[in-house]
Amino acid sequence: MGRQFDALLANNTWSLCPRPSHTHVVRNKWVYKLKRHPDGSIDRYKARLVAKGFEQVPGIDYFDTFSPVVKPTTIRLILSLAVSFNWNIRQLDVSNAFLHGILDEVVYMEQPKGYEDHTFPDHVCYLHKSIYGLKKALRAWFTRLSQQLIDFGFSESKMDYSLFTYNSDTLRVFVLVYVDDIIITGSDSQAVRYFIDQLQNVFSIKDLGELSFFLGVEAIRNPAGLHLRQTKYITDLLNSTYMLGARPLRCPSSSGSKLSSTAGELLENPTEYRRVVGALQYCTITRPYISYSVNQLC
Amino acid sequence: MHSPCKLYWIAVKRVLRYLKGTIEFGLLYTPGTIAMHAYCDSDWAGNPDDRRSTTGYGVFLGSNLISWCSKKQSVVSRSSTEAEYRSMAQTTAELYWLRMLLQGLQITLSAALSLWCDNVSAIALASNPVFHSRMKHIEIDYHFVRKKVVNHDIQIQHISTQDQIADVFTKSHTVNQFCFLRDKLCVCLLPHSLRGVLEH
Repeated sequence: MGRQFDALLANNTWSLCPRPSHTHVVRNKWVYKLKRHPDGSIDRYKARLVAKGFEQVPGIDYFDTFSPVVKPTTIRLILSLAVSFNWNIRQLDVSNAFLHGILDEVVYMEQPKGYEDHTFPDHVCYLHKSIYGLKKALRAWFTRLSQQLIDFGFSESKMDYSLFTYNSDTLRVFVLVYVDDIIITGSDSQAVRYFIDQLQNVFSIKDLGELSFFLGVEAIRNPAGLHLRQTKYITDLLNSTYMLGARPLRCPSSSGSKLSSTAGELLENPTEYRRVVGALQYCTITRPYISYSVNQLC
Repeated sequence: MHSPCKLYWIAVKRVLRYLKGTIEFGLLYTPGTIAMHAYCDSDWAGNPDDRRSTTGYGVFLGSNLISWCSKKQSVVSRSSTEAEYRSMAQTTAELYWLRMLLQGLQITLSAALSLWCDNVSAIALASNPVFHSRMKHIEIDYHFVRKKVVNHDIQIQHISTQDQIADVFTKSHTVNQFCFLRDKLCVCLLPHSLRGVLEH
C-alpha cells in the first residue's frame, strides 16, 4: 500500500488544491489483491488505489473513452510473418500502465484514505495523470504510448490502430499493443533490443523475453514453426464446468442436427450458459474449426 | 442466447467434451511464401428460425491460417448462388483489408490474391457481366466483387466440395471429414519428433 502510494507520488500523479466549489469530486478506494505464485504460495499482497469512475458524468467529466484494441487477425498476421522471416518475437509487460496516461480533462479526486495530507486535510487531488478506475484511464494510457512510439519514429497502421511499424531501408520493426501487453518483433534483434531499452527509459516495463504467453494463448517456438494453443485456458474452462472427467468426443457437433431457438424446455441458469459460450468463443482464437459449432450456440 | 433451452446446453457439452480430447491441439505456423489465398463457402437457409444463410471463409498467408469467419448473413438469400455470392463479397472485403494491412507494413505479396469457391454459378456471376434475373436485387455485392475480378485484382477459382476447406465453417461434419478438414487448417499437436529439440 505504501509502495503504491509512493509510486503515485513519484509519478507526479496529482497535486493538492483547495476543494473546488462547482465541480464534482470523484471518490476512491483501495483494492487489495493477493498475488500467488503458480504453485499457490503467496507472492505478495498488492494494493491498488482506484477511483470510482462510475461517478463521472459523461459530457462533463469525460468525453471520448474509445481506445483501440488489437484484432486477433492482426496478431496472427504478424506472428505468421515473423515465422516466415524467422524473426525473434519478444513480449513486454508494462507495470502500472494506466498510471502513465496523461489526462486532458480536469478531474478532482478525494485524498486517498489513510494517506491524507496532515497540513491540508480538506484539500482534494487535482489529477495530472490517469488512475485506475477512471473512465478515460485506458484511452489516456493508449494515447501516451502511441505518442511515445511515434516520437521514436514508428508510424501507426491505418488499418489497425494498435499496430505500429518502423520501416527503413535496412530495418523493419513491428509493435502490437494490447492494453499493457506489448509484442515486438523485427528484422534485427539488436534494433529490437534498442527500442525496448528506449521504452524502458520512459515507462516501467518488464521484458518477458521470447513470446510465450499472450492473452491466454501459449506460443511455443521450435524449428518447425510456432505452435499456438490454449491448453491452460481450456483446462480451466473444463475444470470450472466439471467436465475434466468427461468422456472425450471426436467431433464437436453432431452432423445433421440443427438447433432451433423455439423448441424445448428453457434452461434454469442462462447466465452460466452465457459464460461458457463466451469462453468457448475465446477458444476459437486457436481453434478455427470449432467456430461453426460455437456459432450455432449463440 | 437470451433464453437458451436445454438442447443448447447439451450442444455446449458436446463442444466441451470435444475440447477435452484435444486439449493440446493448436494452430501451427510454419515458414512459407508471402502469398494470400482464401476459401469461401456458405450454406443456404441453414438457420431453421429465420432461414438466413451462414458465411464461412478462411484466409491463408502462405500455409498459415490467419483469418476466418463463421457468421450468419444479415439478409435472407433467395438462392444458394446468392448466398455463396454474398460470402464471396465478405471474403473479398477481408482479403482487401489484409492486403492493405500488409501494404502498410511495406510487404508486397509474391502472387495475386486467389479465392477458391465451390459454387460454379457464383463464380460465373463474379467473372462475367451476364444479366441474371435472380440476382438483380443484390446490386452492391455484385459490383464490388465484379470490379475486382475484372481488374484482375483477384482470381476466383473453382474447387471441388470435398476439398473445400471453408466447409468446416458452414456445416456439421462426420468425424472423418471433420478430421480431414482440421488437418488442412494446420491445427494439430506440437509435432512429436520436435519435442526433444525443445527440451534441450
